[in-house]
Amino acid sequence: MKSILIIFFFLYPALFANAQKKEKKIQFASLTGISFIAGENSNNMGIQTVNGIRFKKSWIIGLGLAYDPYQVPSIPVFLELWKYLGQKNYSPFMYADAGRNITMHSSRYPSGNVYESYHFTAANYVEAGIGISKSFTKKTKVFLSAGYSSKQFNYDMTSKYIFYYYPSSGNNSYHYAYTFQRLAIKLGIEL
Amino acid sequence: MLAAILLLTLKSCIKDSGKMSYTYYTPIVHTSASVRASIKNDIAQPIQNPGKIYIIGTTIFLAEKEKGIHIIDYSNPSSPVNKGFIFIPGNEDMAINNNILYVDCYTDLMAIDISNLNHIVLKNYAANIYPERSYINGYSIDSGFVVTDWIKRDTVINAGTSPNPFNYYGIGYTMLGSAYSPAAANTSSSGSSATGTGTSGSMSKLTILNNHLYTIDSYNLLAFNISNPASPALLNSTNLHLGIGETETIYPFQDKLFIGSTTGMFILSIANPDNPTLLTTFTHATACDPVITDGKNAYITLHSGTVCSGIKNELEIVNISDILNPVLSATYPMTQPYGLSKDSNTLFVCDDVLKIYDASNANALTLLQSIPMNSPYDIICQNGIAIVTAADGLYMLNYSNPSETKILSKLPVISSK
Repeated sequence: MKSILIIFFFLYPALFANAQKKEKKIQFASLTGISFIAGENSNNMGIQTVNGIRFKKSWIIGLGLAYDPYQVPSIPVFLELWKYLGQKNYSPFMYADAGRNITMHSSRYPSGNVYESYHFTAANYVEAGIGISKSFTKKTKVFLSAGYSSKQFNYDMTSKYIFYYYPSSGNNSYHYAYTFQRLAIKLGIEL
Repeated sequence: MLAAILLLTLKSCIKDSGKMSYTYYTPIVHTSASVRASIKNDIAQPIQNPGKIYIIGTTIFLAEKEKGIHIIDYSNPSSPVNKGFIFIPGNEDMAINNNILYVDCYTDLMAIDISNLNHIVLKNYAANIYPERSYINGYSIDSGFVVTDWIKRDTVINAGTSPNPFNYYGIGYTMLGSAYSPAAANTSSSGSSATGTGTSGSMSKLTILNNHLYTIDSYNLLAFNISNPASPALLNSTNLHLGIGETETIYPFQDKLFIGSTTGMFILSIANPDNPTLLTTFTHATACDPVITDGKNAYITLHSGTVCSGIKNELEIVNISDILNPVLSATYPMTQPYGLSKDSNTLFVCDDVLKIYDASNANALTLLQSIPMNSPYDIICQNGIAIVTAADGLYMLNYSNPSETKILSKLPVISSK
């Protein structure tokens, strides 16, 4: 079910955008593309889409959803602000994202392990960068961007391995907090 | 092109990071001599971490885990009174005979004269009876010293840059100190059983029969002669270690001792009280397991998720009609059971709640009532009054009509700041 919703979320904007007939001051905007994410520990390919509105001609604001496999597969959900720095055939732009990184792990007792339980929580996700966009048609642009991306991954591990007669160690809880800093290059299409 | 250049030049500048935060404890130690000298009665203290229970007359001795013993008058079960406290660091268990209170103080066994509760006196001690308890929270405490308290510290350490959840078996050791090994599980508990001296809960590891004190360390049953109550004399030690598993609880019944271990139940004869003899062993899946008996059946609760390991949470009924050939006759699923007690045909089990069963037919228990409590732990049932320790306090219940058992009173846990 989750997969169907994600696919729908990615495809729906394109269908919607084609249905736009007239230019308005506030227009629907969709930015969808693939991303190459490079960090200290690995290089990965991801995908992301942002759907929102274009206003004052050069601004786009929208809600973003991505699949980010770097280190710990996750789904960042974020708000994106996009600003064109010109209105030419080749238009530079800058963007900034801020939101939450939702891990694809579920909180649980791992199979076969009765000693520890894990609780995963959403953490911060931010990205900012610059890029350039080229118009192919009146409604369609291709963009290439490079930016700095940071996602956090937090979880609590509680060990049930209680040292019985030493209650001072009975609460074996450990909080883990990771910050992954990456460079993100994105190639995508704006509708 | 710009992006590629940016990527190559900047990638080496950015790093991942990971941190792990946790709480650990460092011990405050005093010499054993100074601790022994400080054993005395004190004014009543708030109940903070209730443990095992022992009753004699109308007095409850309630262990404050690792700290000492509360003395509670329950002449009126509807209004028990917290009368005083005995400071005994490292204490978990107790038994009483002829006004002598026997307690553990980490590795040592102490004999304390309580004939005057306003002026108790340490009469004697036996050192190193529980040697495994010199290993605490990752610390190996030298002989001659006793941990009297702990200092809580919060800390953050580097956790590397590659998270790997679900692969932390045994982190408790590595985080709390490499020196520690899980030597023993002193989850002793027992069902109520009059010993002629007092009555212990089913989680006990100390019991008294026929002028003998019996206790268990991780692998052995130790027998003491207490003809002179103030001076327990060690008679012998019976090895109960079968290669794996550790002894946990001891329950006296007639001329036998039922000992719960992480791997099964031992039944020993004390026909010769000086020299307990192993009669038989009943093995089960690895789990912690207090045991009680009514002579026909042994009732064993298995619980998981502790130092005892294992994954079972259940009540096992073992037919002991033929004492040399105990046979598992029934099992009942539980959530995470601990102490249990049986009075006549009524069986009480400390599970996620207090469960009360009609045990007329042990092979077909009927649940009469579930009484909500926060993690009940140890229980003694006697004369229509059930005394239960739980994470949130000490409960008194009237079970004169078992199917309509009612809470009479509760001495609540008062959390420290």
